[in-house]
Amino acid sequence: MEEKKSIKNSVLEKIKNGHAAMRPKWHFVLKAILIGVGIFIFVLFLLFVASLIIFILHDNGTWFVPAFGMRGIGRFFISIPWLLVLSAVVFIGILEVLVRKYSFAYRKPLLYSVIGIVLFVVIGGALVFSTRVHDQFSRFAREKQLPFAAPLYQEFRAQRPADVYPGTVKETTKDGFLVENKSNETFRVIVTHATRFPFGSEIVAGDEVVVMGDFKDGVIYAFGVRKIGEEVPFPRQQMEFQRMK
Amino acid sequence: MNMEANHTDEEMAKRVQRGDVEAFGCIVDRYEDKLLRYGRRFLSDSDDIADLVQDVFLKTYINIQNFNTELRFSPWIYRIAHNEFVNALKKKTKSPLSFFDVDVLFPHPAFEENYAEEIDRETLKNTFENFLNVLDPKYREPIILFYFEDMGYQEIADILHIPISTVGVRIARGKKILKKLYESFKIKN
Repeated sequence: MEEKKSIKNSVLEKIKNGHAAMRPKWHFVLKAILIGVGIFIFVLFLLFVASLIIFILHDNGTWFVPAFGMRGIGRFFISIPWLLVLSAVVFIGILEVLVRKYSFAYRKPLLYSVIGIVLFVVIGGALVFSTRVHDQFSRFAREKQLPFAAPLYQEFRAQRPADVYPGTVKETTKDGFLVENKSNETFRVIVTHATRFPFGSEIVAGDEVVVMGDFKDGVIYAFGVRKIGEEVPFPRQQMEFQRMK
Repeated sequence: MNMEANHTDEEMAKRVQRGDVEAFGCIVDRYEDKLLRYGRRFLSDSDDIADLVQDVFLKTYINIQNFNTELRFSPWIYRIAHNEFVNALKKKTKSPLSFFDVDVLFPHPAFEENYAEEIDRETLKNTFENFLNVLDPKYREPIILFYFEDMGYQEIADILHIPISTVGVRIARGKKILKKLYESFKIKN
């Protein structure tokens, strides 16, 4: 009873003496706003990174090469910008810690909120990519109008995989076609019976394509050719390789 | 005793937020015994429990404007007490005390609503109280809150900031360990 009295008296005494002052409402409102802004910035950053990864893989053609089979899948994994993926994972971790303070997150298993964040980032990243904002940024970077982000785009542009060539078909030849890349360089592509065409072999001038193959003496010996911009009928038609006649 | 007795904790908290210090005295009256009991069971010695509980009340007062009076007051003040006691336990054991484990990571649908049998409650309280101090704190705390403080799974989840299904898992595992301890004690004696 003595302990009880002393705790209550001591607490009220400290409050009345001003040793314990109530924090004002705005303190907590400001804190909540700062956490909210922090979460918003992390989300924006994650969407930027996710869409940049998709953009880089599209830009250098790696996105399309898994359709060429095991060699393509191997090339795809080697060419993923792992540094960006790692930074995205770190930021997903930080975001998870931030949202875990809220009951909608901590009441459910950690796995659910992590899956939720990853799905949001992947879908959001794909949507941001579809706005072609990175095409603009990349163009600005090439024209040196984007000083702060230019090194980022130039660095990843320089890390192109050695055997993947995205470009536009300039003209068809008797044994293949000529392809022009974004730097306006033209390469001759030779197609053989072994060349894989996972989405059809109707190649005409003006088609956007990705060619995977070995480059020798100024010629690309195509291991696989794929048109870009078509629906991806995964997985059945992927198996039905057609051969160019 | 008086008008205050008819007011809910949340109403009293609202009065404190408006500057009524006496209303806070009433909150202290209501929660002092509960928090002292919770602290004694969780920390298993009573040396500094009164000081810790006093700190809990001071922190409650300092942060009372952060309390949403639309929600229940009890889990909110127990959350403050939990943080205070965990910090005290960390200092006492002088080792990093991790409350994270894989139970938090994965779903446990079987434990979502599977409340421990009521029939066990009194037996468990009376029989196992003496063994609580040998139980790992991560099992000890949900057991105390569920059996001794009569909290529901969701309230415990809100106090410990862990998934509701994890509360069920930890209570079930803690109970199993307590039963084993009790059995071996019975055999020895």
